[in-house]
Amino acid sequence: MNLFQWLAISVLAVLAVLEFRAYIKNHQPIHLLRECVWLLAIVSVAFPSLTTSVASWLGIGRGTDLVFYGFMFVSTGIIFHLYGRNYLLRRDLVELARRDALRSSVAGESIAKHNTERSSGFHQDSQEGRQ
Amino acid sequence: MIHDITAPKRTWIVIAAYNESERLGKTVAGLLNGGHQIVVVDDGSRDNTFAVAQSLPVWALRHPINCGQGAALQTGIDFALSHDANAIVTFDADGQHDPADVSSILLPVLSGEVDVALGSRFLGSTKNLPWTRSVLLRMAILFTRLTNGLRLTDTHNGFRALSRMAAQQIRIRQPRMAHASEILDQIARLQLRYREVPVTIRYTHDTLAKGQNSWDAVRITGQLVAGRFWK
Repeated sequence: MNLFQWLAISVLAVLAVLEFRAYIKNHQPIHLLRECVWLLAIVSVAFPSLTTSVASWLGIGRGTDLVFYGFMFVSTGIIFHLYGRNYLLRRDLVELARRDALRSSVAGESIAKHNTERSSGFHQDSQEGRQ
Repeated sequence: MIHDITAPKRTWIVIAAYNESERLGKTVAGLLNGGHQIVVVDDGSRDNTFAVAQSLPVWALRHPINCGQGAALQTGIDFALSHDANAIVTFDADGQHDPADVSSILLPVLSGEVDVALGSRFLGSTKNLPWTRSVLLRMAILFTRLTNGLRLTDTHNGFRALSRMAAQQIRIRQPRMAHASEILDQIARLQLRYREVPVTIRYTHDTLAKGQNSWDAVRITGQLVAGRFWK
């Protein structure tokens, strides 16, 4: 194995261990999925000829192309997922903004005048009543 | 003259406003003698739109952040419904709609003939409509016909009137410009009775600058597709 393989496998191994620990801690399937990705990456880096064999079996040709296509598909999926998350987050944000707006509605200037006039009229009426 | 906005008027005009401090006063002034309640929703403007709204004889609401015209309209509709509105008109803040059309757009709703009255600039009249905008609007008409089957002459007109029942049933979830298409989708899905009413739209340099362009048409389509995926 060359220097790059040692470095890459070391980093990927640390990630795999952390992911496994996270899975043991909260048993979420997403950690298992990520664990599979890290393990697959370790195998691909350690045995480059394996990706070439799989690629030629699929009719792609080069192992590099297989990795590239895989990357493209995963990236598209992630972008789609993040767009959805952002979309739903914005919707929640709108709901919060709406609640805030409805709670703090303000009647325009004339209503303030209207109330002042009404209360002063009421005050006058009550004073007249007392007399 | 002091307009009494606490009087029990049950027809409401909802105006969504974003950075409209210069035009809002004039737009509202044209509506004041109609005998309607008016609510202005400032959609997180960066200018003093909210201060202008507060100085007018209307109800003023403010989104703390810019959420989009669709979101602002729904906020105004919620407010109007909570104040016992029996009919709600949506009206643009930039003054491109004619206040004289409010009574004619309300008439079929108040008479119970339809649940929703939709303003149509192509049945009425337009002033200074650029041909590029005309092509875009006609493409939107075709899109609407293909997606929900409604045969309309104008699909992206912000001038509309809703009965209380329709306003309660329609829920605008598209916060930005796609709300216009979403409302039409819901009219079709909920099988609400609708009719188009001729209205006048006046385009000016400012209104055109804030209006939609070809790229917005692509964006609106994307937002509608996203709305179908994530409910």
